Amino acid sequence: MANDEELMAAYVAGDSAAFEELFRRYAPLLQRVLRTGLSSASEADDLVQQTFLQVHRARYDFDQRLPLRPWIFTIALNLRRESFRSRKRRPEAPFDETAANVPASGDAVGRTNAVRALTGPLSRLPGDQREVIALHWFGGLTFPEVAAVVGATTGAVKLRAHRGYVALRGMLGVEPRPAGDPRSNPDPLTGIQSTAETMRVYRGLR
Amino acid sequence: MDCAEIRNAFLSGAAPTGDHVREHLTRCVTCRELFAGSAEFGSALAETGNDALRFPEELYARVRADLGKETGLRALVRGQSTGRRLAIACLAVALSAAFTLAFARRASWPMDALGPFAALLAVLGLGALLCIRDGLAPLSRVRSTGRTLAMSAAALGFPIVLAAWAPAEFAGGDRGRVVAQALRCFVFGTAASAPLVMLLWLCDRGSRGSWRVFLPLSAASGLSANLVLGLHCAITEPAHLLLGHATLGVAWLIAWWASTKIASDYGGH
Repeated sequence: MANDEELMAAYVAGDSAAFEELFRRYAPLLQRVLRTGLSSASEADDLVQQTFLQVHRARYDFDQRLPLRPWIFTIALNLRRESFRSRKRRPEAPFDETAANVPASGDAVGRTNAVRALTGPLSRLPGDQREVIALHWFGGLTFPEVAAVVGATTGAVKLRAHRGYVALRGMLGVEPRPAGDPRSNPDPLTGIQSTAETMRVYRGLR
Repeated sequence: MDCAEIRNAFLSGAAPTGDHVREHLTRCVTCRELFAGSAEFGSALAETGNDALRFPEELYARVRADLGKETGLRALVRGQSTGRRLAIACLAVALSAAFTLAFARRASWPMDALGPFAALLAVLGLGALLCIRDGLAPLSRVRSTGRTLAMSAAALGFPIVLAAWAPAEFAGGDRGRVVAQALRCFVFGTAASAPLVMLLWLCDRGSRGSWRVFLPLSAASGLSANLVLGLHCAITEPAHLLLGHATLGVAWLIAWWASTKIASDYGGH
């Protein structure tokens, strides 16, 4: 299967099927990232639409030696900033309903609740912290790529992410277990394995 | 092992483990925060990042419809690479200057100050190119708002400062004559820079009519007009320079803002 950069090269060469595949890969990622901090899904969708239009217009600007993902996300976030400026407002209204695109039946109900529980606090984070967390987790960018997209150093974006995580923890009431709690585990590796297990169940891998 | 590898492993359903992971966690305060305790927080975040979003069919249809409208001259020009768009705009500035030199050059040249005069024209041309580069910068680049504002303000203000500091060459107190001459220069400057403005409009990729585009491009048009007028007009009266030359940048700014506003109100991309 072709990687993103090969698909973009194919699209620049005139292959419209490559564009559809790029849309298939990137539209959901862009929706997730752009929805954080927006008041409605349609606003985010408008921006995704604009992003792909701009990707088309700027296709000859893309340097095929560089990764595509940060290139597309920089376009998307610049469009979002310009949209905020033109409406003279700050990104602050929480997106109230993620359930529109979340499976809501049977065993998914618990997950939907978890998603809802996190969406509100995420929207209340300061914009720079929310942006970094959204790009890293929902956009799948590495911290150096996030740094390139937001125009900051890698250290600065890691710091923003850390502060954002601490703030989210506080808002969610998820605090590290006190010493002596049988559920607490001081070894972070166990935490990672626990998270991976959750993910496996969540994604239906077991 | 880095943060991205840990996250990517989650997304593929694997559990990264081993000494190299442990070592990363001792160094990385961000990952430690996510997976501390029983990792409830990391789990919640991972779930949120993996909502099973459907392929947005309706949105794809809208995008295809947008792309279907990308035809015609403007689509062709703004679809060029940024390097080519810059070259086209620079060529327009050079051609308008060459045309003025060939067919409408000034009656006399400041022979006693040819060096400063040439330097002034060079500054006007360079300023126009810098503003064009800023205005046509692709959205895939992180832009500095402060730099755009400062550059545009300097470019719009420079001809006004030049007019105020011009050596007053008094040529009579006829106010009507001053206004008529200024109007002629204003019209000439407008006509000479109109092709550049048209080309810049064609080159603009239309990111929702942002002021970050039309402000530097208007300033560039004003500087280009002043460059052409420097080759065309020998009058150095401050009032004439102010009315006939320095106002061009502001006039283009108002015209560009108005057209952007209209386009935005009527939903144009």
